[in-house]
Amino acid sequence: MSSEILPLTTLAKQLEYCEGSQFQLILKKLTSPAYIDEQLLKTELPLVATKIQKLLRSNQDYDIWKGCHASVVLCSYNPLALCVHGGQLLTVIYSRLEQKTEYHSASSEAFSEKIVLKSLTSALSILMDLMRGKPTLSRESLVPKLKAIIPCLVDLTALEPELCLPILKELLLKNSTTFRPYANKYRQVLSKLISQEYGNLDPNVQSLVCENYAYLHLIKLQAQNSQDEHQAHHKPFHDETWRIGILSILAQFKPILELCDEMLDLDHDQDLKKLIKSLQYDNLYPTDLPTSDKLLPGLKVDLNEPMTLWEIPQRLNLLIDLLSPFLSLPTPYAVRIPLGACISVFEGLLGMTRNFLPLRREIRRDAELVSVIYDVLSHVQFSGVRLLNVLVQNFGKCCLSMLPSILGSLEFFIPLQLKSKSIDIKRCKLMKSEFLQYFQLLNSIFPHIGYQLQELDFFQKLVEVALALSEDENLANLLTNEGPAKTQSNKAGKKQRKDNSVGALSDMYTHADQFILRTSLAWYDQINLFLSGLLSNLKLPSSQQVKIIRYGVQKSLGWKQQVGHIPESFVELLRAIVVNPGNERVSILPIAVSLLKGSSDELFDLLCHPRLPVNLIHNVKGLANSIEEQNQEELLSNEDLEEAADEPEEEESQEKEENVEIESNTKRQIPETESEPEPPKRQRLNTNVPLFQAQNTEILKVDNEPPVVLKEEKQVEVVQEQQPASAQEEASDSESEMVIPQIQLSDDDEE
Amino acid sequence: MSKTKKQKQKAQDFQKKKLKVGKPKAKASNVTDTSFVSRTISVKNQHLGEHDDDLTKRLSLLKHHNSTVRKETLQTFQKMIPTIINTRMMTPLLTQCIPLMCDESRQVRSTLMDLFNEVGQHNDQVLKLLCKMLVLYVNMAMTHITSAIQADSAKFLSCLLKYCGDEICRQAFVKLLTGLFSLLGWNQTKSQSARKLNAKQTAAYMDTLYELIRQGCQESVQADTDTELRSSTNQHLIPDYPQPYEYLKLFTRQLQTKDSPSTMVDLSTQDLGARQRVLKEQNLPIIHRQLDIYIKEGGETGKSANSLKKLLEDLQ
Repeated sequence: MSSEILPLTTLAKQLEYCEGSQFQLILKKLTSPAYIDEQLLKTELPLVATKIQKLLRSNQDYDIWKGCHASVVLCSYNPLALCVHGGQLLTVIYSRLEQKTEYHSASSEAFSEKIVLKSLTSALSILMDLMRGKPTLSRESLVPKLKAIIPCLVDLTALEPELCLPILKELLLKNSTTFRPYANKYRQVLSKLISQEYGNLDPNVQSLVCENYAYLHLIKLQAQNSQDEHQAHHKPFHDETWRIGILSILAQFKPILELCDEMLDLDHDQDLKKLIKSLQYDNLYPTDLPTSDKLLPGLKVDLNEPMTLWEIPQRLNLLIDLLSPFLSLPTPYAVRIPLGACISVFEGLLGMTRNFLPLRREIRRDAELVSVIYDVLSHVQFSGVRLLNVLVQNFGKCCLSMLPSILGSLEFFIPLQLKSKSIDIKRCKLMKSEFLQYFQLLNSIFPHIGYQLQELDFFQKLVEVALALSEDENLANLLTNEGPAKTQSNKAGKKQRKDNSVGALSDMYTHADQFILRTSLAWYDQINLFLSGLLSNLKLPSSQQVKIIRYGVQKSLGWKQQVGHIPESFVELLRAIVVNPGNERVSILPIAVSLLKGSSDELFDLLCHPRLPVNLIHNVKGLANSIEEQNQEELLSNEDLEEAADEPEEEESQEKEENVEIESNTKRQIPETESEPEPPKRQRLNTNVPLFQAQNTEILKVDNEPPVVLKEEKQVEVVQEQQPASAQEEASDSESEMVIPQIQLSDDDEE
Repeated sequence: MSKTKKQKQKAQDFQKKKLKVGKPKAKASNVTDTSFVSRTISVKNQHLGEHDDDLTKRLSLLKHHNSTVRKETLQTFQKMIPTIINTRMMTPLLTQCIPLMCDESRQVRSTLMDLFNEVGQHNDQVLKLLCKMLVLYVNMAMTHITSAIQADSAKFLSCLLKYCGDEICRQAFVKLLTGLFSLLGWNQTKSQSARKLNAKQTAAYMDTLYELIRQGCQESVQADTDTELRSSTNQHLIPDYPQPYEYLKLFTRQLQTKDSPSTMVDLSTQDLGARQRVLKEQNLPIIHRQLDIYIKEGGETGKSANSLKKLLEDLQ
């Protein structure tokens, strides 16, 4: 239907002059599959391609921008255009990019220039992605041009890292061989970013820099000195360079931990000292390689200037950022990760605790230094937590063999009060954001632990910390003890010059609830997940159980009153509390049900109204019928009941037609026997077969005697006891019934 | 000189007045009339004699100043227990009776003990309901100035342990343990001087301690029918004891003091493990030390100490 489509020539002409929403319409039109036509290949498509190239070559920023978007849309939706003209468009785009890069300087940046650069780079990236998977296209159009594109992008990275890093990351991964000649230069650019400008970058850009640095190690590093001749015959592993990258980063932790020895007196813990000594990894690779230990400058730390101590956690965080991509990024081949080394580093970092290690005598006198050291040590420990987070997320179950030492080290993270075993809640509150990640880590460990844990002390502490940090903090309360006395003394001494500073303070007393720092829902979600996991796997002592119950009930009620519904994580927590009451005498099922009234919860519904699974019920009889039948059975003799065991299936089906039926597939599959029809009598249930499974009449034929014996005893019981026929007793007493009886709920259950 | 008017009037006062025939003796001027008229107003529902069966009126007699009246009231109530055990009368009755644990009269206290026994025999749920108040007053008695009241407090405790030992141990194990230790003079702080107790009292205290530890720390062996055991241990069924969620303290706000260590304030002794831990970690060394002394002395105290030591060994 070529007559119904807008001809491409018109579109091409419009491209040049259109603006704004019209351009959007043209692009939308270009996506139409009607233009994928070989007849257009000779006439119209080249015209469109030429127009787009003209736009790209223009001096106007707006035209370049249009050209980029038009080329992307055309190549994405029109494979013919991609295959034939994609290469040309790619060439024009990257040559424009080169030109722009040459004249680009960070200081004189117009807003439109930035947009143009962004659109050029994104167009480049998209076109490359489109060409990548196709063998001929990539061989002829993409790969030859990469030799020009890559250096262009590498140069631009120093100026606009955010734009180029994602593209270069893809190129490193997919075209590492082509990238090789430029690897050194790129390494220099990245080294400069990491060593000098890292702190100024966005978190996204920081992670991109680290990922690119990791992917550089997909390209083999060659030592300048020749290899050991004795080892030359061994085939090197693929991941040799990757492994060297990891080891070089791990090797840098040791000097920093030895720095901490200047602050903490590590002589009290010989095990920790040994551990730190063992963190020597720079002997495992040749020293002349351009590894990360050479790219980072040394730390300048001065104990006389306490604020310089903050460089220690900053450096540690940088090292963790550099290490994480090595552990988490996908690689084209298998890599060997030194997990034990990573865990040792983690233990070393977490071991820097003042819970059990005293400070050095010389520095104890300086209060400012001491407070800075305490904060710095907490952050040193936190970097260990981050490291373990990466390890567990990527290698979860592999860390299980080292679980006891991991949990022991994690326990050091909880700050204790000096010279006491009780937890320093105030310090914990200062580190609330760190504790959030800490609990996220625990939540990722828990699914791997299961029921095997026996130690409760650590988890009791965690419960206390979790619940203490979950309370809303009223900042005004902290001041009420000191405020009035000070203001009064001021007033008594001086004249009241200005009332403003004093007058505003009254809000803190009258409207203290306006000064509350509320806990975020994200925090509650993590804590609730942690507590649910804990309750499911361990039987906690009643102190902690009671606290968790109070927290769950009170917070759920609070949420319900304020917001109208209870958040999902609290519902899960309530479920866990009800299903795992632990050592308590009674579970909080009634409380939970009343909290969740209105929002139909399946679990609580099942607990309150237990019912059989629908599929397994063959037949359901009313209670009155069952009582009549039972009375009739008592009159029958034993011999009659023996004959009843040989009844055919036809009578069974007759019975079923009389009663209320619930359909099941298994019933229909029971084969019909060929025995003679007999007067309808009740069939016996075989006691060897569980109640709620299909009663196969063949089984009844085989095991004839035992049911009869049992039957006699039970009949006698029925006569003697004269119990009211509750449905379950019926089934066991009167085996002549084929049916699965209905469970009668008492009135209480139905409320 | 002739007398003045004043002097004449004064003399007149001392002259005897002549009595006149047929008229009564003249009254002195300073006579006070002490006659009175009394009238009664009959209000029907306040007549004590007519409503002897109504026990609510007798409740106030429990606070009578005369100890005999108190004792007799308690005896009356004790007789009425079988009839009123399932009525609403029990709670106000017990609420008024329990403070008599600290009564000055020995007879009142012993009558009260009989009352508790009677109540416990008929329906121990009533005592379980008021466990908190009972523990409170037992504690008060344990720390009373009067030594006789202190001595009786252990008797009350053993009586209560008989009927609602489980509940008491769950609620206030640590408190009672500390109280008994102070009665025995086994305090951790040396500031309190060791009181000299006679052998009988010591033996009685140790027996109570034995009972408390046995109820609190020994796993109960329920050898009854299996079905009962199953139903009593299924935590999702409706509980058959009063106030099942009271220990959660959902409606109480706990005051936080900076001085008290958080571990002891928040400790809940609802479960067996916690009680055993408290006993082991905090009290065992003291107990063992003291027990050895008593065993060496021999006699009644020695016997009680021996049995207590055996129990502790069994627990470990």
